[in-house]
Amino acid sequence: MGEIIIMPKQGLQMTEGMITSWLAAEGQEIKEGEPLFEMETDKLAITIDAPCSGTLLKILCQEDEIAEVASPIAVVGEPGENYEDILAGNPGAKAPADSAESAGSAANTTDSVSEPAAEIPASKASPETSQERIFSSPRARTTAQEKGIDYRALEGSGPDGLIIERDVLKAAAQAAPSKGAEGKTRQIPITNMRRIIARRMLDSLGTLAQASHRLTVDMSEAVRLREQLKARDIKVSYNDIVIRCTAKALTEFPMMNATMDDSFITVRDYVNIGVAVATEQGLLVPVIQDAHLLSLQEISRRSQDLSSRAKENRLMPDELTGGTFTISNLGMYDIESFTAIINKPEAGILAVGKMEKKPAVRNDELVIRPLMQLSLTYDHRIVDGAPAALFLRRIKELLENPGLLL
Amino acid sequence: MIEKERARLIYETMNRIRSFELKALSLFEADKLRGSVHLYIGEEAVAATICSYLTDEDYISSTHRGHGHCIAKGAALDRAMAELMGKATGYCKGRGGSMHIADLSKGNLGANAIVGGGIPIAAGAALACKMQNNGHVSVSFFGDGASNEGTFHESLNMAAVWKLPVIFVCENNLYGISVPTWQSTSVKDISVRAAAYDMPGVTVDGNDVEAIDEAFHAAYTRAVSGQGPTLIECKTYRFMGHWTGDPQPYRTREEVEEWKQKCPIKRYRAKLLEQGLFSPDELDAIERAAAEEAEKAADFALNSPEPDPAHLLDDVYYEGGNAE
Amino acid sequence: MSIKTYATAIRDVLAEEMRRDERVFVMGEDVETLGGIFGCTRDLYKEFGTERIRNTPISEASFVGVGLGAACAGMRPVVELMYMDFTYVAMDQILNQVAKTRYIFGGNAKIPLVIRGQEGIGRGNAATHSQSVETIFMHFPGLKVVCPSTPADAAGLLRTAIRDDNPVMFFEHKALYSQKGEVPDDPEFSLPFGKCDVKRPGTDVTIVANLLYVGRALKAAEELEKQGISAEVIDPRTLVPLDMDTITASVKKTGRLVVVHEAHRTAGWGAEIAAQVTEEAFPYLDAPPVRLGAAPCPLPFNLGLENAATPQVEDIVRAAKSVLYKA
Repeated sequence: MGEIIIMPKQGLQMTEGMITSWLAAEGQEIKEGEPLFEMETDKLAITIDAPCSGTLLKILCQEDEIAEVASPIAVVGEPGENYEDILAGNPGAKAPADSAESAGSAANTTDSVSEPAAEIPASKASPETSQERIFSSPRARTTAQEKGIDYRALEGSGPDGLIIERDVLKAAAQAAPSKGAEGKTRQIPITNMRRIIARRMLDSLGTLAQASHRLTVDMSEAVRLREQLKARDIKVSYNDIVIRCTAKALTEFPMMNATMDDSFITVRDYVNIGVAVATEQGLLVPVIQDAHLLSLQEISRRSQDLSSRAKENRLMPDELTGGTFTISNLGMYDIESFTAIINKPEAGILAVGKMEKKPAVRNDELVIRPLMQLSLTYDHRIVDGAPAALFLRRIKELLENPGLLL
Repeated sequence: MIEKERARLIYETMNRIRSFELKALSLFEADKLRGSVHLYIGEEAVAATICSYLTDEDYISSTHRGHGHCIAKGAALDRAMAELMGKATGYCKGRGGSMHIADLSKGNLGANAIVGGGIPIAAGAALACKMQNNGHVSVSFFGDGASNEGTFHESLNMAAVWKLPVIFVCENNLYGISVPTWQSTSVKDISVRAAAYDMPGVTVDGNDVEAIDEAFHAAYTRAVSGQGPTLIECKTYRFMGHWTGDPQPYRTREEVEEWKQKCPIKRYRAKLLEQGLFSPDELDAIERAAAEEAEKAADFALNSPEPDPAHLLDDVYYEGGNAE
Repeated sequence: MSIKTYATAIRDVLAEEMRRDERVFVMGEDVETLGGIFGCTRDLYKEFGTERIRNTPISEASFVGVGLGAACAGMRPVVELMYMDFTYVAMDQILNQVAKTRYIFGGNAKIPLVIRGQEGIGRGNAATHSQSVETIFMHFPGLKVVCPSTPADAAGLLRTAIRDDNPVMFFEHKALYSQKGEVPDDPEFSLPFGKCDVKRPGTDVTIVANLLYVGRALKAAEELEKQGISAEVIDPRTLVPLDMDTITASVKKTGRLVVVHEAHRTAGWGAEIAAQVTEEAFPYLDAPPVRLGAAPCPLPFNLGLENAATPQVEDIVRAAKSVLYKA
């Protein structure tokens, strides 16, 4: 009896995934629980184990192709069995075990109800469904895949613009690193993750009324606090302190912790702070759940754990969803101040710059103080300028007087 | 007069053929047997008498109406019936059926569903016998219809030129399916066609064992002594339609009844009693044994396994090593 | 090694096999004193007598059937058809009897029968004596189909055919009979069925051809080389069994396939190869496979018309360039 393997849903918001690599070939025996393929969503890259044992009869979703959640991606059965019969027979489709999903909480389920549909891509990115069909020879596609060339972007030199192997080889030759001084361009296939980041950024800028406020914080007290803890072998980062202060401020300014759709503004009595982490694949935003309930130390531990696992690509899908506010820190890159783009559907994002000793005026005297710039981008549709200013000032107040956290 | 042991063999064979076919007919009517089943009933004297001369090293080629030849040439009824039912235990593993039943181990080159198809094949076996100088002969059975096929004329000519040890036996049952021979055939007696190929041709009563025996004895002697082929025409009649279910609008019930009175088995039984070779009890016993054998054959066939489709592609080619 | 013509290579193997195995004999039209109209049995009757080099009446249907009967009865006949166009006269015997006997006998028969003869253009024989008919026999299971293109292949494959316990259709080409080439002297020299001969390696396009067209494909490959195109030329040698592995592997490498034969293009054996390659190597194809074959008309007598009806070297060059999208 054959089994149909489907694109497994990894996290509540996932609507589609791209297969990046099959770890078994057609005709090969696969074993339940052993790695079967690698895939990528907008949020993560993950290795999926085989949900059943048998012969991998047919791969329906090839590498670098995108499949909707729950759509068939492969067929497993007895050697020599006709996969089409299995597909036609429509036996129970089998999704690879999803540890994150099985651990998913009821809270997340209700959460998802209020998620705006904007997260779901309006159209599939798959080339096969793009409006204008691109004609290419099978060999051109095979070669393009081998050489890492996006054949869809090429101009075909075959009959009626058919993209043929020659076109791909030409592109590959151009893409090869140039030896001479002559400048050359290189075409890189757009990964699913990049595609989705691009879409979401544009969507955010295109649909929210983004405005920003900036101010400078004197971090002297925060430095002192960090030193005190350090003396007791407790390591926290300045960013952890920023997270802690922001979490507290958010409990006091619920509109900054809200989301908005056509009918309602939804406010929450919990704070989940997303922390932007740069990884090799691109931007990820793991979420510290219930940050308002956590101590500084707990925040620090959580944040370190998430960020290191994000860099190793080991995050669970639901650790990337459910944020209510995001903090992005580029201080380590010497950035003094910047404007971040809101992580839709949240109401705001805090951009944290580099902390630096700088001249400051205190009691009309020039003194040296560790200063740090904060820039808040907020959705003016939900929050007006003044309350947003008050919110940002409250964060400054907490950072300059960490005792207030107690 | 035929000597006693061969007479017994001929009588047994005729009865075995008759019982086998009546059983096959009842299985067909009970929908246990599919395909075209062409019954030989009424013509048994020809195969039974001629094959009484032949050993397993002599060859025959047969026709679509081939059960009689097959049984007379030594086939076991059970495996023959299994073949008619398409069973794995049949002579052809269920691949041939009634029209292609063959048993090369008994020198049977096969029933042949193509009219005239078997005539050159029998001539070829005769050529082999001649080249091997082994003293064996080949008999080609065919019907009146085949005598209008090119292979008949080509093969008679070639066999005559090469003096092959082959006997051409035409079973003229007066109809090619529905067409009477007078409508299809230029000559009244097909045996006269032998003259065109400079070989002896003789027409005999095909329902008379002794008449067939006499004609075949001469032909056989001629063949084994290197004098070449003979054409024997046996005028006979099929009691049944061309196939089971043939409505037979082409002939009258009276004509069929008239021929049934000339049933070769009844006639030979009377002859044997008249000659005092066997008692009525002995002949009854032969008839009973044949009927019982046919019953057992049917049981064997019914209880035999179907061929396994896993072996569908076996034997299209001989896959063993090449000739030594 | 000896240099022999294609016809002599065939004749010598017939003689060697008849010496080796007394069951082997030849029959056909004019095979005895004339030695066949192309000399493939010339003078053999002097050594083997007229029983084993046996003239037949002009009765193709029957002497093919006689071959089958003799094969069933322990002989190993080699039946010569003067023209393979005459297979049509004997078609019932070949397709209904020879091809099917072993199978419908439940595997209880071996049919060591070779039916050999020549086919094709080149002698102004016109419509009924110039056809290439091998495809027909590939369509029906039960026959092996052999098409040698060189004297050595003719020798090696004919020996294998005579020693095979299956019926073999052996297609020679009349325009190749006078072609000379090296043939091993070993009286056991044989070539396996189901093994392509890669006549010339190449990287840009695979050209599959048989019989007369192997030579034409090689000429085309030389011309292509001058134009910077590397063609791989493959001779399948036997159509049944067919070595698709070699052909498919070649197309996976080159990405382009041209099949050229003298048989009619429509439903010719090239169509089968193109289809199988498309099924097995689709992701490797840069262009649809191209078939070249005789035009859809009976082969005409006039030489100009005959040339127009059959693929020429230039046509092969053009086809190879077309699958490379080169003008």
